[in-house]
Amino acid sequence: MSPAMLKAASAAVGVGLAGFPSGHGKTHLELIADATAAAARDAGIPIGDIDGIFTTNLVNFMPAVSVAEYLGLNPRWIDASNIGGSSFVHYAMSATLALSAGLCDVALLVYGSDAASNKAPPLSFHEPLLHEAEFGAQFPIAGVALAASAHMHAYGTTRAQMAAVALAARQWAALNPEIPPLPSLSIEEILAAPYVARPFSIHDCGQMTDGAAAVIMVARDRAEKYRRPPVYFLGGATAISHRRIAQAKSLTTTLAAQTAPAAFAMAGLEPADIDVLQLYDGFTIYPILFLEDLGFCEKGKGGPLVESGAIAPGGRLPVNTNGGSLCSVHPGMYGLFLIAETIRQLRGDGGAAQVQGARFGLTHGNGGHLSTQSTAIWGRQPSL
Amino acid sequence: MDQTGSSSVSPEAEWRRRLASGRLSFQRCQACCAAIYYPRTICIQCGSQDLVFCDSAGAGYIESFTTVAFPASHEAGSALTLVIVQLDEGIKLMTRLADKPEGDIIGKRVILEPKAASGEIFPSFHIET
Repeated sequence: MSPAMLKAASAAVGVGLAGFPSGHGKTHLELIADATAAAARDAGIPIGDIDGIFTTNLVNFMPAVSVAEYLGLNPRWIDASNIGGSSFVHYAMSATLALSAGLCDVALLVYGSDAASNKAPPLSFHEPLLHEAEFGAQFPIAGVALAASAHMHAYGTTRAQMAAVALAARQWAALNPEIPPLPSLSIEEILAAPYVARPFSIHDCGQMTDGAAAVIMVARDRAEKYRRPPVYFLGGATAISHRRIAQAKSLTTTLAAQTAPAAFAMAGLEPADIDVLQLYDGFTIYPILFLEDLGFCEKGKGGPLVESGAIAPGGRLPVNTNGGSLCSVHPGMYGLFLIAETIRQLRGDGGAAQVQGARFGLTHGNGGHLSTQSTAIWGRQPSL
Repeated sequence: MDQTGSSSVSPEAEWRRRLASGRLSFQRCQACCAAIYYPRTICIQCGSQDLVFCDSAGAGYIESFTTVAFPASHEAGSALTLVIVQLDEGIKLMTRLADKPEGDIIGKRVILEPKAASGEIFPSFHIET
């Protein structure tokens, strides 16, 4: 047994989205059911065939239990590990493991939230982070701002470079028919905006929306049996760094530097093989950090890379082709939307945002304030 | 089975008791000499439970900072500066800066504000002049 046995051991065969940017008053479980039904229709799988559930959320104390009950399912296997927004990228490998062991045959990865419509504070706010919360900061924004300041100091990263991330997300969002048109915004306007938490202005932060996503995965031996082309899971890795930002060993290098080599080794690929990237972008510094730590540029050169236009439409390294969480959907935990967009691109369903000939995609999720990192690599076919 | 542990006292409670008397404390592992912060019942370097409290001299430098414009539970229009301070004893902590920062203050030396001068938030630090 070795981790390499998980390479192409599963595939995503169904995907569904629902309720963003507004769920129009629907609860998170109602949106979860909408997304699940859409994914099941997409795959051509009866919902009753789902026998594995991979889910967490901001509301339920026992998320898998609440979701299974609401959907009327009796799963044989569940994983409701909560490592924040990266949980759903982690579930891709967890589901692959369960599917290849025969613990379940049809795995549902699902997330939903009415975080924008329903102002009730999420469950996570009930846990004060002793030794940090008492200083009056709001997290994750303050924690990520501390990381951004440190990166600016160490590598000369600028606010204009972070603004380039926001502007690229806007350009991609303009190609996404599922979200309403955004007002135009110039780099001058971004740089003139007041700080929310230095060095971030409002434009550096993803704005809360409602929304739900569902992805259905099956084992490789049945991946070709469904309505749409499969997207194979080729490699993955997850790592946990810290809960409190002052406990991070480094503020400038994330554990993507640990997950990427493991995920690429499992997939038998390297960064140059990747055609399209979906990188968690709750804050504009994130794609800069992740491009560096995932191996797409030298450490410290993420700022110049994004400023060059490489990640925007027409660039050589397309990032967040749906508009990212900065401009499309950020319902508290964004991880599953990274996978949904990767599936859309690798199936060739990207419309005006389609990356021509995309064969391999990378999704990278973050949880907390750079607390957890999870990478997954996907392919239109099982290998090179 | 024996119930084992470093002592019957909660290190968290002991740390807060010391904080209330104006001492910023951390722990030192008696087995591997690692400096530990925040207080725990186990060494995060070697797993030993033989930890003793020490008081910090209250000097270090700023590893990073942010100024938050709309802090939780604060009056409108106020701002606060949070810093991660690396103390000379080899620990780092989240804390507040008493000064208003000008430009990039990363790397600047800071000193612990005496509890009497720091108001309700202790520990807080000021930039060494």
